[in-house]
Formats: sequence, structure tokens, C-alpha cells
Amino acid sequence: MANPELFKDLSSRRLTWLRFKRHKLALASGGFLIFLYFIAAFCEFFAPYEPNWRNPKAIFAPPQEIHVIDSKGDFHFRPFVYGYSLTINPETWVREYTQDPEQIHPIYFFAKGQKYQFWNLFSTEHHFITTASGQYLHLFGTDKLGRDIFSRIIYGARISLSLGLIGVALTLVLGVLIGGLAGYVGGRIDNLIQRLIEVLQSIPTLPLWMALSAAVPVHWSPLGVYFSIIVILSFIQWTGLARVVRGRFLALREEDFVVAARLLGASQLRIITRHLLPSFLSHIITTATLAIPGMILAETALSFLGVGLRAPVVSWGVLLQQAQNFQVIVLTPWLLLPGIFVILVVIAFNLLGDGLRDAADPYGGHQS
Amino acid sequence: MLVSKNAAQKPYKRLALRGSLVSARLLVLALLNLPQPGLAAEINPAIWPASWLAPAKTASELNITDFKEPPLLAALVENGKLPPLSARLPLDPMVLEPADSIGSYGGTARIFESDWNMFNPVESPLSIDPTVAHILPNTIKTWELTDEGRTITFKLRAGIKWSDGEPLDADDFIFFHRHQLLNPELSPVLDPRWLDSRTEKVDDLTFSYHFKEPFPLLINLMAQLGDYYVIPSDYMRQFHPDFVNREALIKRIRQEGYISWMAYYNAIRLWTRNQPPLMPTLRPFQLIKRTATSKLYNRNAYYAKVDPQGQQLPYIDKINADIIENQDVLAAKAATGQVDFAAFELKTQDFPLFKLGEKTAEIKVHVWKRLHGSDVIIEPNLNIRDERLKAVFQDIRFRKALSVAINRDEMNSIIYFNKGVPRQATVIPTSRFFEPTFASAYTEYDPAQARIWLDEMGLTDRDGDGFRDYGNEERLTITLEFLDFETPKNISLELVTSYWREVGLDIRLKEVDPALQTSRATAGLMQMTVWHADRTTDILFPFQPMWYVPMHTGWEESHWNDWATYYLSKGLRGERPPAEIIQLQTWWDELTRSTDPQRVTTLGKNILRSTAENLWTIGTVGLAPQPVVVGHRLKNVAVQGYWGWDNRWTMPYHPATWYLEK
Amino acid sequence: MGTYILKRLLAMIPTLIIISVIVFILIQLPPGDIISANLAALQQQGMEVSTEQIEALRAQYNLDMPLPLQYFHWIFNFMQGDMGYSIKYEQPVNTLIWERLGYTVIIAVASLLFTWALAIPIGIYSAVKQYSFGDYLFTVIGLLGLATPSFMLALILMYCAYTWFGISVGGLFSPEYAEAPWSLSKTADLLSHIWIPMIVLGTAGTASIMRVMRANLLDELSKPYVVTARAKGVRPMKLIFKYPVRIAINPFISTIGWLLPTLISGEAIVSIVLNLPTTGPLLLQALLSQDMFLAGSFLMLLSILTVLGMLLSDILLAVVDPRIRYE
Repeated sequence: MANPELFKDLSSRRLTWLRFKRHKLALASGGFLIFLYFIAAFCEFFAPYEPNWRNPKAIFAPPQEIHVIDSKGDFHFRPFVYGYSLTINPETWVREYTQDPEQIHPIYFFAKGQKYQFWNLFSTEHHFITTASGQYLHLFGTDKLGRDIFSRIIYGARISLSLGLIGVALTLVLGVLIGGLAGYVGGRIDNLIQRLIEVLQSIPTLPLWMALSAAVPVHWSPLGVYFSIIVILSFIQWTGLARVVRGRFLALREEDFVVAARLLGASQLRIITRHLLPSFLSHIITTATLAIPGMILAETALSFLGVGLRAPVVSWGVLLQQAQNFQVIVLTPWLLLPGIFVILVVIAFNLLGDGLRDAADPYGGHQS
Repeated sequence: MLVSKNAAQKPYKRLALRGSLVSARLLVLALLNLPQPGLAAEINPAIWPASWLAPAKTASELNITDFKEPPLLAALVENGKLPPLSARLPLDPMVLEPADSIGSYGGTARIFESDWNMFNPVESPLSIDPTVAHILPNTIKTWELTDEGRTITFKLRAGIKWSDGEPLDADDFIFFHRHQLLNPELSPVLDPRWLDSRTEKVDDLTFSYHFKEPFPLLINLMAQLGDYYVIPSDYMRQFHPDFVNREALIKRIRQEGYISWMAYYNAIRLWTRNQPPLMPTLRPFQLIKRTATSKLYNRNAYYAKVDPQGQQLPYIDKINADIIENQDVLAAKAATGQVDFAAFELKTQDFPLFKLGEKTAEIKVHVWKRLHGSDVIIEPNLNIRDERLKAVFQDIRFRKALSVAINRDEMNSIIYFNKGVPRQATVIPTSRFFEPTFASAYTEYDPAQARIWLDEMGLTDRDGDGFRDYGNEERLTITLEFLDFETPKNISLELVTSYWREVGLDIRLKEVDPALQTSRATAGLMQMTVWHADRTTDILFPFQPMWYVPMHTGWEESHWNDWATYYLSKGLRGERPPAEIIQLQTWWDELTRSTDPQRVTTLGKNILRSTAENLWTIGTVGLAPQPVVVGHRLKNVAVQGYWGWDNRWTMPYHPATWYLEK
Repeated sequence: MGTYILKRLLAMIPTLIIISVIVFILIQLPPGDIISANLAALQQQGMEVSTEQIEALRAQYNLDMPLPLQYFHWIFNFMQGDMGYSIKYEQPVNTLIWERLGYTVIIAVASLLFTWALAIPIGIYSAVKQYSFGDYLFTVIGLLGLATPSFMLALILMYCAYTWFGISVGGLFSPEYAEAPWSLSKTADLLSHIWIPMIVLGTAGTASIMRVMRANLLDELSKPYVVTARAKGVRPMKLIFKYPVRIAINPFISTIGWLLPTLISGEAIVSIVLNLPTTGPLLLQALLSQDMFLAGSFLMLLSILTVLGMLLSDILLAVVDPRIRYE
């Protein structure tokens, strides 16, 4: 550090924040993720359409371009898109869409569109962006049934992003509890837990997930399936974390400050909650941050195999599953757009995790 | 009697015994009963060689005396490894006319393994004509029904040989009947029709079946189910304990890793993976090798048909069939011209992809017509255990509401490029059982009427969540389980459920795998499922009207298992059906035994009218286009044809005449 | 050393027993069974199947036994090398697996080599040139590899291979070589196809190994002995490769054993997309269709290999790092 004197009086939390702030990429990633989670939380408002709403005039329609100058060269203060005109090519059987300069669909902000229930609390019609009724807006194109990809990605974000978050929370609870138990108690229990982890890690994960998700009863509601997928994913993930936590506990148990606390007569619970946990909380947060993208990717893999979430639930995995063929690349590449969001989110979480790790570890990095 | 798998990795492909009608005497009448013109599903028969529509002529009838063989086989004859052509062909072989041109010999065709039945079709004892209306002779030359259809006598053509050179004779049919069909170890389950049945050998080429009850439909089965009833007895004897020492046999098959002699016997017979090569066949091509990635076929040197110039068929020397498990990869391979022929696993929605291939990969896309009365038929389970749901399903207003809530025209446009026909599940328009109202009943899109019917039933939205509830505010939810294969079920159901959601019904979709489909459908646990309505022609409808009469339980229908079980167990199990259902079963009973063509037509129409009036199942869009991708080298593939299980896909269009242009 | 290995081998036994029980339970979990699938064939013939007849069919495959007995029957045969009979494919599991294992091993080893050959040099470069443009570039590329769902990457690569190089879609061979005997040109053909699964399987691993390598090496480089050596004027190349790199690579040895389950899971998805004749899709199919002998025996086999792999890693580590032996 350039000038250690400068940091002398700062709390460790403040120090961490200062170190984190220097990671521009991590900072940006964090901002990006907060932005996405915000949109996901209010997806009903941000999405112009309900995810299963179909526009029968637009099957496999390509993304519309936003214009401010129309075909006659006139400037419009309000941005607009052109409507489609469709012909099914009798030769190729391809649905050919052209942007029809006669149909101008202005984009309205915070205007009234489709009616929806906001968080099941009240119903409203206001959307962030929308068009007049009878007109339409497909910024990312539409799918085989004429559903708006843009809206589906936004709704899918709610499922995929929350799945990662809840899943990791569950993983953390399991991992910290079991790993902490092993590390702190030691002895036979430690041995037993060690074996259990070894066993679970020896079974290839994908088949394990598949067998478990295939066992989810068919009549469960979409919400039930959603939570069972989370539980199944966490069921494997906790082992890695538990090993780390155990290792840390083993090491910390013999540290002077813990021994001191014990000699001073502190209770077990107090030692664990006041001394042990805080001393590697940062580490846990980092691990968790790096585990979320794994969850999101795992969900896409399960959906790809047809044992993940099911329609009408919309997740990024469900969206990508429908984009999984040669025809999509050749004829309707915009269906792969959800994949870009998966990639961006996974990268963002990784960069954020890296930044957090470097910031939380006072001894790590920045030798140069 | 575990019956064949089309492909080992797709055990849920269709197989098995299904039958049809048109007995010998009915044939004459059927020929007179010309199809009505101007119907969407009809293909003009003029596009096929006229000779395909009538019984095949033989060489002597066409004055062909000089026979030629391919260079590949001529070389073998020269080396003394194969008998001369004259010893391999019958004295008077059947002559097949190619669709376009006389072919030239040679080449290896590349196909997908899933198309093995299409490229190398069954050599049925009897054949089906291209319009799927009549039965034609094939390896069986004549047949006769006596004793009101209790005795059926067949006479084989002389001189036809299996691919190992053994003659095809009456013993091959009798072996199947006595040692396979009636063997309790091989066939623990026997179709009641075959109970106490007998076979009798009249001479080497003539044999007869004797049944307790009239069984005229056996004629249709001999054509549609093809070579199921005949087996190379000289070859199969070595795997059957009736002919070899049981202990030695069991020891031998244990070494091969098989669990029982029956498993081994079936594995050989059904062409599954580990089959020892060189199982004799009557088909144009013989399987010679199977690996994890492909199957290899050689031409059958004894194939008993020639072209109009006396050249022995088939023209093509070998087939290399790739095993492709991923349907998307398969479509991509077909579209990029990596095979000479592809059809079975191709989806209607992928037409644009294949059409693109016409420009970039020199393939041609033929549009055949599928024989499915409806690509997706929806089956509400009328016998569901849940009493409340059962009452809803059994209310005809509910079924009518479901039907008119579906926007079939939009489905036709979205899924089928407007090339299908919105209709209920019923027979094809050229069938003699068809009436236009059977197809059009309750197909008009009318969600307002659907809402009225549902409201009338008391299924209103009581808690204001947008979904209809039972009387007590509990939401009416229906889980629709389905197996997504063969027809576009997934996309169809996504649409159908969205239409139903618009009238306030909460339907949950769940895709299941074949094992689950079977166990849940047969146990009657599915609230609702779907299948494709095949068996819609004069060949198969009379034998298995499974969508219209409770006469069968299986993985494809789950809408009235208890009534079917009651019928099949003669009242021992299941649940006694209401009078109108018993009437259906009685009609069908009579239909299968009747040899009076007019009576048969009346009974068939009665059955179909009942479905049109009662909507036992709900149809969507049928008679849809089937993509058939043909590589630039492959010639003589018919430009149009009917595509379906009823006519064994390509069988009436003679793939033995296809050839590869050099 | 001998006692260490012996101790580890003995410890494996209870682990394997527990694994076998879990595997057995796992394949019994989903509803339905393979017999039902085969019953479809019977029922399609318009026949009524009685309960007795279903039971007879079950008995053929010992499925009528109580579960614990079924378990012992299965595991006993398994230990004798008989993995059972696939009801779905109608052939012995041994045959099924062996004919596909070869390609799995080829692809797994190829992607492993690809990963290491790429990741370790890049990791070294990134550590040495920390915060350089190259470091950032590789980080971004690595993250892209990590973040792209493997099925999507496989599909896109397949498309590119077809449109740019005319390589046939899917599979490991062009049609003309598929059944040809092994030759130089067939090997070349294999190489022209195998790079797609290799890259797809390898990229996800590359990113993480790259980053671990970079971090490990950075740790080493800041240690006093390196600083001293640098101060004494040791040439930079020698300075890096003599000790720090060797020490930084050490941890990877310990991960070899863990790679197998990951590779099998990843391989399965890639093989489905690319239609490769490997074991992965077979296993997934077996699981989906409840082909219990195939799925169970196969899972068990993989688990044993993983446990052995871990043992191998530990032994290797013990050889490299003598301290571990005496723990």
C-alpha cells in the first residue's frame, strides 16, 4: 500500500470498500447486476408485454429497429418502430418480414398498455415502454408463437436471477452449518461428514440432478417445481463450500484469539458467532458470489435436458432450450439473445466475485 | 410377444400388430367405390405409374425373358460364391415399374437409421396400393375366405427365396404361428382372437388359418403388419428349444450375455443392436453389420423382383444408415445434404430449413401427405379417479367448449404454413367411412360459445384470479402429460393451452418420457394426454378404431381405460360403461366379424358419427404435409405419396426402384 | 508410502458401499419403470395384459424381488464384472458401455490436454505480465468460455465449422469414413471433427485453471526466494520456470481425480448436441427411461473411477510433496 498511515484509523469494513472501489470492472459488474435485479423485481412494469402473450401477426419476426426519422425524412420527436408486413414465400416456406414504412408505431414511456397484477398486490396498466393498442413493439423479435422475446427475457430474469440467489443462500446455510460442524466439533463427526462429502462428490453431478428432477411429481405447480429445482441444485453445491468452511474452522480453532476467548469462558455459540464466523464472512460472501453463476448455468443445462423448469414458467434456460437447433442459427438467430444475457450475468458475477475476494483479503494481490 | 423396435434407441417407435379391413371379397367392391374428388387430402393417382395401382404383373405377362444382374453380384457368381441369377430369381418374377426412369446399378446410399423402414421397406405377404384403399397381392398370390371368414387360405408365389437362398414356403408361416405366436414363453400374452387357432399346411405353397370366430381382418394385417407373420424358419430353428437342446441353447445365450432364450430370440428377430449378422430377409436389403454409430446393409442377392428391362432389383448396392439420436442434428444433416434420403424424423416446422437446403445443398424437398386424421388429438380422461374432474370431463358441454375454444386456423397457419386441414380426429376423406361432418364438427373457433358452455356448467371464476373454479372457489386445474414425438405436439399444446387459458382454464403441461407415458396412461392416471390420430384409412381403421371405441388400452390413449378394460375382460374388471359406449363396442364387435361390405360401412360410420357428436377426443389439425428430403443423387422417389403407419410409409411407392445417379 | 496407499484403499471400501446404495436408491426414485415401456409393445397389439403376465415379465428381470434383494443381486453381479442387462437396448450393459467408452476417453483426454496446454501458459503469461493488455484480454476470453452454456457453444461452433470449413454436421467422422477401417486419412478426418467437442469441453475448464494458475504463480512470485533470486540477477525465464511455476502447478495434480465427474457431465451435454457416440447420452437416456441396470451400473462404474482418480491424485501429491505422507 502506498501510504499505510492513511489507512490506520479506518475500520476493516471501510478498508474493504476502499479496496473494492479500486476494481473498476468489479464495481461496474456490481452496478450492472443491481440494475438487472432491479428490472427483474419489477419485470411486470419493465416488460411491454406479458410473457405468454402472442402476437399472431408476428411469428418468428425479427427485431424491430427504433427510428426517429421516417421514410419521408421527417423527424419524429417520439421514437417509433415500423410494423411488419408479412409474406410467406411460396418457394421457401419462409415467413419474410419487411418493415412497413406505412405503419408507424410510436413508443410511449410510462403509458398504459396491457393490464397486469403487480406483485399480486394491485392491478395496473402502466408500462415502462409500450405502444398504442393494436400496435406492437418487438425490440428483440418474436418466437415460434409470436411471443415477445424482449418481454420474455425480462420475465426470465426474475426466475433465473432469483433462482441463483435463493439457491446459493440455501447452499450457504447447508455448507456453513455442516462444514462448520465438522470443523468445529472434529473427531468422528468430522470424519463422517468428510466421507459423506466424498461420496456425494464422487457421483457425477448431472445424472444426480437428472434422477432427482425426474422424481419431481408431475402435477406439482410451476412454483413447486421451481423450488424443487433450487433444492436439487443446492443439494450438490453445498459440499464444496462445506469443505472450505471446515478447513477454515480447523485452522481458526487454534488461533490465539479463539483460544483466548475460550480461556475467558466464552460459550461455544459465542465463539462461533462472534469470533469464527466474522473472521471468514468475507470469504463466504466471495464464494457465494462465485457460486451464483454456476447455479444459473446449471438451470440452463437442466432445461436443455428437459428436466428443468416447465412452461408457462419462463426462465433463461427455458428460452434457450427453444433456441437449441440449427434452424435457429440459420433462420432466426435472435432467439439466441437470452444466451447473451446468461453470458453477461455469469461474467458479471465472476468479476464481482474476483473484486470482492481481492478486497476482502488484506494480504492478497496488489504486489506490484 | 415383445414386438420390434424401430430403432433400439427409440423403443417407443411404433411396431406391433395392428390390422385393417378389406377382405378378398370386399376388395372388388372397394375398387368400384371410387374416392370422391376435390378433397384436400387427395393426391391425383395419375402421378404414379398406373401399374402400381393394380396387382403387379409378372415377367411372363410382360414378355420379359432375359434377366440381368448387378455387376457386384455377377462378380460373386463368377467366383462361385453365389448361385447364378436364374437359380436366385423365381421362374416368373414380379415386375416393378420405376416412378421416373429405368435405373442403373451401384452405389452406397447414405440415410439415417430412423429411416430404415422407409428406405428398405417390409416385404409384406400382401401389399397396399398407393391410394391406401386396396390390398394387392405380393409374395402371397391369392387368398380365400371360407366358413364366413373362420378359415383363411393363402397361396404363395413360387420360387421366392430368403436372402440365404432358402425357399419361402408355407412352413415359414406355420413356424411363426405354432412356435412363436402360440409359444407361451415367447408370447406370454395372446390376442384372444388367436386362442385355439390352428394352421394347416396344404402343400409347400398353400396354408390356412382356422379361427373360432370370423377374422376377415387378417387379410389387412397380412398387408399392413407385413412380415410379422412370416419368419425364416430354417434359420430360426437353431435358436428355438423346440428344435435344439434347451440346456445347450441356454448355455450359449448366457455366454452372449442374454438373460433368457426368449430375449435372444427376439433380439435376433427384431434386428436390435447385437443381432448376429445375416439374419435372412425378404426385403430389398439385408442388415450385415451394426455398430454404435451406424447400420450397414447389402443388397439382397435373392430379391425376387425385376424392373421392366429384366434387371434384378434393387438398383442400389449398399446402405449406410447413421444412428442419430438428436433430432436437431438430424434435421441439420438432412438440410445440409449429408444423406440421400430423410423423412421419418423430419418436422413440418422445419420446412424452411430444408427448403433453404434446396438452394445451398442440392437437395429436393418433396411434400407428402400425412395420414394422421389429426396430428394431435386431445384425450380428456373420462375415467379419471378424481370424481369432480370426471364429472367435468363427462359433461359434453365441457368437451364441446374445449373444442370450439381452439383456434385451428391459427394453428394451421403458425405450425403448418396453412397446408394442413383443421379437423376433428376421423378417417381420411378418401375413406369409405368418411362423411364431411365427421371432420368439421365443433371445429369453428368460437370462444364466446365456449365461455357460455363453461358458465352453464357452473365453472365460473369465483375468486377473480382469471381462472375458472369448481363450486367452492378451488381452481379447476388440469395437468396434460404428453410424449413429444412424431408430430408437433409440443408447439401444438403450447397453443392449445393458451387458447384454453383465454377462456379461463388452467392447464399445466408436462412432457414425459416413453416409460412414464406408458405406465401412467395404462394405469389411467393421466388427467389428459395427447397422441396423433393414425389408423385413419380403410386398411387400419376397422381393426383398431381406438380413438372412437373403448377397445384397447395402451400408451396412446388414456381417455376411457376402465370402459376398455371392462370390454376386454368381458366384465370381470374395469367399470361398466354407459349404454352409448356399450353400443359402440357392440358395433365394433360386429364390424370386425362381418364380411358384408355394406354392413361394415354402416357400422364404421355409426362409430365415427358418435365421436363427431360426443367428442370423445378432440382433434386439431390433420392431413398435414410431411417433408421428404431427397438428395441430388437419388432418383425415382415419388414426388407425392401418403405418409403413415397405415401404409407403412413408403411401401406402396417401391423404394426398391430407387437408384443413385453417378 | 505402502502403508499410506493401503490405508487409503481400505478407506475406499465404506465409501463405495455408501455410493452403491445411493446410486441404487437414485435409480429407483423416478416413477415408472422400464417394464412399463416394454408393455407398450404388448398392448399395442390390442391385447389385455393381466397382472400375472406383468409379474412374469418382471420376474424375467428379477424386478419382482423386494428392493434390498434386488440391490444385493445387482451389486453381487457387478462385483463379478457382470453389469447386467439393458432392457431398453436389449443387450448386455458391458457391451453397450465398452463400445462407446473409447470415444469418451479420446474426447475427455483431448479436452484435458487442450485445457492444460492453453491454460497453463496463459496463466503464466498473465501472472508475469499482470495487468497488461494481454492479461485483461485473456481474462475476458476465459470468462466468455466460462460463461457460455456449453450446448450453445457447441451449436455455434458446429454451425461455423459447417459454413466456413464444410465440416459435416454432428458426429465424429464424415460419412465416407464412418465405417472405413482405420487409416491415416480416417485419423485426419477424426481430428477435423474432434476439435469442436474438445474446445467446447475445454473452454469452461480453461478459464478457471488459467485464473488459478495466475493466482498461484503470483503468490509464489512474491515470496522472498524469488525476490532474492531476482535481486541476484537470475535471468527472468529461468527465474520463473525453475521453481515458482513448478510449485504453482502442484495443486492441479490434486484435481485430476475430480475431473472425471465434471468431464462426464459436460461431455454428455456436448455429445447430445453434436450427436457423438459416447457414453454420456447413453447414461442420460438410461436415466430418463429407467433402464435400471444400465443407469445403475454405469453410474457405479463412474463413481468407482472417480474414487480411484482421487486416490491417484493423492498418491501423486504424496510423491511430489513428501509432507503429506506423514500427516
